[in-house]
Amino acid sequence: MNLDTKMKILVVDDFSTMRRIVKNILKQLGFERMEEAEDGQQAYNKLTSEGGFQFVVSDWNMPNMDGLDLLRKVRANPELKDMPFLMITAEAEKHKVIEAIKAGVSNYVVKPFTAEVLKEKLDKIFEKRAQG
Amino acid sequence: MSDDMEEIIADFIVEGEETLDRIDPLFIELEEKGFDPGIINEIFRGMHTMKGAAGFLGFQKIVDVSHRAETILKKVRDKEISLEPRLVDVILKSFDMVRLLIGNIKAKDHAETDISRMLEDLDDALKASEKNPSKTVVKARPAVIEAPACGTPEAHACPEPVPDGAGKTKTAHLPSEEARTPQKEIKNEAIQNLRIGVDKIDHVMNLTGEVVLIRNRLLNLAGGLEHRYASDQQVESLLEAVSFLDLLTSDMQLAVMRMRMQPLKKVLGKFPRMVKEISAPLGKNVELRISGEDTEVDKSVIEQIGDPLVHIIRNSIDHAIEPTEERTAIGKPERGVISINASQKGSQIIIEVSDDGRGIDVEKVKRKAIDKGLISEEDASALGREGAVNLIFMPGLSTNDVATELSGRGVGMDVVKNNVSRLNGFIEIMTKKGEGTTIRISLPLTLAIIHALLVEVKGSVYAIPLTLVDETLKVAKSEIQGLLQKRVLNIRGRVYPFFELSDLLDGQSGSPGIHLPGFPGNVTQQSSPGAVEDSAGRYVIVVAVADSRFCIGVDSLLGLQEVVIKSITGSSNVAPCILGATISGDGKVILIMDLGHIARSLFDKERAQV
Repeated sequence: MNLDTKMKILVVDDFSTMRRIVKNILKQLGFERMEEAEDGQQAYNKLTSEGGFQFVVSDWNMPNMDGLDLLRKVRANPELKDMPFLMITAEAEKHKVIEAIKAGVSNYVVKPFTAEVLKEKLDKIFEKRAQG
Repeated sequence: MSDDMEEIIADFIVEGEETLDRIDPLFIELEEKGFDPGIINEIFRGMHTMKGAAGFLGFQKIVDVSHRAETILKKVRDKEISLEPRLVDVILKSFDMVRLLIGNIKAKDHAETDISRMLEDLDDALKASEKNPSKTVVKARPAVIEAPACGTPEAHACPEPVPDGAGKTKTAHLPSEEARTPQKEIKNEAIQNLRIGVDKIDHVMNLTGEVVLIRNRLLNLAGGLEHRYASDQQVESLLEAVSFLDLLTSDMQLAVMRMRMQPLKKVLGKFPRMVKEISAPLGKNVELRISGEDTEVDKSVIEQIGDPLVHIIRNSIDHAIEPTEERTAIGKPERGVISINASQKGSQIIIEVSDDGRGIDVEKVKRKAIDKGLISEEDASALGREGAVNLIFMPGLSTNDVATELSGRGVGMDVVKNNVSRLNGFIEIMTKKGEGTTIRISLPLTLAIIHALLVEVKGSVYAIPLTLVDETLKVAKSEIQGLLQKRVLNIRGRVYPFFELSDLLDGQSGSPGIHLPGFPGNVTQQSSPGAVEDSAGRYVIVVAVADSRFCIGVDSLLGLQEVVIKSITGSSNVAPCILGATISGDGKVILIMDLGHIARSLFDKERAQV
């Protein structure tokens, strides 16, 4: 399926190099409109005040507000509850993925990942949405 | 893609080093505060994040090392094992290893750093700790579940950070909040920052330098036009435009300079751990107090000030701070204190390192200098207190038996002094026996642009950095008197050594010996004390370098100018007394004098001679 490469994506990670890496991979997949936030709190503020985002890709372990809390807040907000949300996790956090799934994550990806893997995940997320 | 990759790797290097700089001192904090899940998690997260990014970039060794460190930290955080000194030690070592690996990436040297020992050490340390699990584990477990430690991923129950007006968040629940607030603020602002390669900034800096030079030329030309066509409307407009350009250029200079500035914290942050590591094996109890670490200095200062400071601190711990028993015996607090205090004073950055130790034993220093044949017995007795203390800057004095294996490393205070001079700064010592020593380093704010006094000698123009000029005056030639084959000048009752700039350049009369090819001042017949006779008066510059003051005679003073220091390249025999060159308003090359160097060679020689 064709992804909408014009969609506005929020990349959330506390390590700026990681944000750049993720943005770079998204760029490889043809996306052009990426914005950044460096923790869950900032991401949530951006999502609520700025709006217009169609996809969130977030790291898990961050200061102030981690990825899981961000996910929960997003799901709890009527305006944002359907936001596609991809969680980036580390190998070691795999066992906790169940928590993210319970909280309603759209999908998760274990780092490091390649552009192909990310594309697969995106396809799955947006396919599901198109169907359901 | 490959360009992107290179930039991302450059980012990783900077951010990785920053992360290490940030989490490294947290162990000290941990030691002071005891087990603090917030701090442990912050350290954990640092390693975790770095591992993640390294994985993407294919830096497998960093992944391997940080993964193991992360595993240990995670178990400590989850109270599965307790944080023993052994673990702290091996984790700190792993940070050093990651730093080294990042250094390898930075240097692109493809160095095959062997990490197998490190990995083994980490594995062994973990295994040993697992056999000996945390004693608090039974008690602590339920507590962890009921009230998750704030800042851990399980921290949902924690009060949510409350955003304040500026969009910064407050995490009031962290016990170490007070100590960490500044960092948090910096971190929260980071999103608005852009990482730019130093080479790009330096390029802008260079261009700005060129603009400054052109501005100076334009000012000069406009001044000439004003003189000739005073009433011309167009000339007036031109002058106005040029004066705007003048102001703007100064602002631009400042702005670019700011871009290169970084807080001293970058260097000072590593010191608490170092002080701990050095003092512990010596059986000394030393506390390091740092203030003013947010003072910003030029990047090159950050890069070069570390070693001298490390040396000074090592010296203090090694020689100045007394062992605990000795301190209690003489009624001093058990814990010795070394404080580093940084501040900006006008266009100078002042870094003071003070200790409350023994103070420098002036007589002992003198004796040592005599024993080593650095000065004679008579000179020693003639030396004032200040002069005697400054003997420690003499090469050869502090390098071997004064310094132990610790402060030794073949480096003495003379190297410290040289390093500071290289940054155009100077160093002073204030010491009181039994009470302690303060070493003050003064550095210029920027190294690239200086305010200079332009002077003329025998038809050539030279620039003298204004920071070192105490005053200028005009004296009658008769006021310059001879004293013991030296020339001196009496200014308001104080006698200063006097040198002709042309002699200094010539290498005459005990001066540094400078040979400039084709330099107009290379005419030797004028170097006798009679050289001043041909002019009715002399312009004199009083120079203050650290505690030495001396006078330099020149033919005329041309005025003040902001000059951009350009290093002289392409010539192998640039005189050591030349700091660099600049281009004057009328497009001529002007040499900038290195007064620090001149002072050193004058007075070192003098010390050797007397």
